[in-house]
Amino acid sequence: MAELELEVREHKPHVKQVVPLVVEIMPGQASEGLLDTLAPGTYEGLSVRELCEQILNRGGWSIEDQQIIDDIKRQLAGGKLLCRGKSSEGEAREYATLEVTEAGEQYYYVPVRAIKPQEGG
Amino acid sequence: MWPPDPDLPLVHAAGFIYLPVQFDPAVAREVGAPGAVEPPETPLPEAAPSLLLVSHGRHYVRAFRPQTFLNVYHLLFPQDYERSREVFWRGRGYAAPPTGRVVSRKLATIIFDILPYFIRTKTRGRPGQGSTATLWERIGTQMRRSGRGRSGNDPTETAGWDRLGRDGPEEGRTELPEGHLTGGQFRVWLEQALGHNLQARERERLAREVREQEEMVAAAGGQAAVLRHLAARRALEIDGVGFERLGEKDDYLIYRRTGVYGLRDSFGRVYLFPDGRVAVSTRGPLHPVVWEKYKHPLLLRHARRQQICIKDFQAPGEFSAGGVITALEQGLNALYYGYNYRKRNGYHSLDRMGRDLGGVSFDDYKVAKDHPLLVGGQVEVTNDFI
Repeated sequence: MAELELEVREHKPHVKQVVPLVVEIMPGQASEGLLDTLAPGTYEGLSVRELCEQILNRGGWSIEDQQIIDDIKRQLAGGKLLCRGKSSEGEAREYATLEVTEAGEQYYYVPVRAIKPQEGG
Repeated sequence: MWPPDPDLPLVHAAGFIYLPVQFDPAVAREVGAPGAVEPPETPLPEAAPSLLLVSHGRHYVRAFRPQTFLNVYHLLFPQDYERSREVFWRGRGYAAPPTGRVVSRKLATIIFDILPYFIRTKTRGRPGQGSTATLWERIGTQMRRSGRGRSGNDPTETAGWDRLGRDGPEEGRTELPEGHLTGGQFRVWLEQALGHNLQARERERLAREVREQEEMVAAAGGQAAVLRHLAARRALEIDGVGFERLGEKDDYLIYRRTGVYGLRDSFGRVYLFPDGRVAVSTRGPLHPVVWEKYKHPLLLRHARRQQICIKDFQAPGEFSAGGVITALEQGLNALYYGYNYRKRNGYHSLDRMGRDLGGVSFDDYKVAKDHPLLVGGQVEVTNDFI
C-alpha cells in the first residue's frame, strides 16, 4: 500500500461530552451543505436520520439554505442519507468527531451525505 | 450558382436581387401562358417587388435581399467568413483574431460554477459563514504557492484589446446600384460590404467580450490579477478539486480526487483504495474516467484513463456546469458506493468469488479491520451501508 500516504493518528475513544452537535447535510458530493447546530439535550436518543428529517422539515431557512434543501431532497428521491459510509440509523455520537471552534468551544460534528448510490457494472 | 459567375446578368430592383430564370421549356411555357405577368420592360419595380420581371427580353426571378444576405453571410458560409476574419486581422498585424476575454467562457464556467460546488468555504463551527471572497483569496494563495503550470500569453497583452477594430480606417459603405448588374460587379460590391460588415461585427464582439471580462472580474471579488494569472497558468487544484488545460485549444480536464477510501467484500474484509482523480474531459461526452492508473471492481483493467462503468448513466454530450458536476458526482458515487458486496457487481469482485473479467486482483489492497486508518476514522469504508 505504498500509494496510501495518510498519516496514521492515534485513535482516541469517545468520551461522552455535553456539547452542542453540528450536523451538516450535504447533497451529493457537494463540499458544503446545510449546517445546523443542536443544543445538548435535544439530539440524544435520536438517530442521525431522524435528526436530519427534523432539520429538513423545519422552516425559517434562508433562500440560500432552501436551495441546498431542494438539492438534498432531489438526491433523497431514490437515494439515502449516509454517514461516514454507513446508513444513518445510529445515534449521532457514533459518527461524531469532537471539534473545537476558534474561540475554544467544543462541539460534535456529524457530516451526512444525501446520496443516490450509483450502482456500477 | 454561388459565387455568381462574373458574366451572369443580374437585376437589382426594389431592394432585391433578381436572378435570370434558367431556360426551361416548362418555365418558358408558364411565363408565356395567358394571364402570366406581362413583361414590364421599364421601369424596374421600385416599391412593390414582383416575383418575376422581364427586362431586355430576359426573364428574372426574385431571389434575395442583398442586405439580408450580408447579415447572414457568416452563417451561410462560416468557413469563408472565418477566412475573411483571419485575413482582416492579419492585415492589421495580428496572427490570429484577438479576444477581449482573458478567460474563455468555458474556463469561466469551470472557475465560477464547477469548482465552487466542490470547494469548501464555510467554517463548520460558525454556520452560515463563508463567501466568494474567501474562495478567491484561497485561489490567489494557491496560485502564489504553486509554481507549476506553464505560462500562456502575457496578461498585459490584453491591454487595449477593446480598442481594436476601431483602429482600421472607416471604409465608406458603397450602395449597390439599382438596375442591371453583372455577377462580377455584384461580387466586387459584396466583398466591400462584407469587409465593412466584418469590421462592425468584430468591433461589437470585442466590446461584448471586454464587458463580459469586466463582469467576471467583479464576480471574482475584483481580483483581476488572480483571474489573469489563472488563465495564463491553465491549471489549479484546491482541496483535491481542480482543472488542467488539455493541449493548446480551449479544452480542459476537470477532476476531483477520491482520497483514500475503503470498500468491504462479502466476508467483511476491507480493501483500501488509493487516491485517484475522477475526471471529465470537455473534449467529448462528459463521461467520468479515472485519470491515473487505477483498479477497481467497476474498471475493466488496471490502467490509465478508464471509463467508470455506471449503470443507467447517459453522459451529457454538451459541456455545461451541471453536466460536469453530475458526471463527476456519478463517477465518485460509483467508486465509493457502487460496488455491492452482496451482488458482487462490476467487472471483478473483491473476494474473487464472483466474476473476474480481467485477472485484476485486489489482494494487495486488503487490510486488517483494525487498521489504524480505519480505527482512527481517517478512512471511511464507503459501501458498508447495504
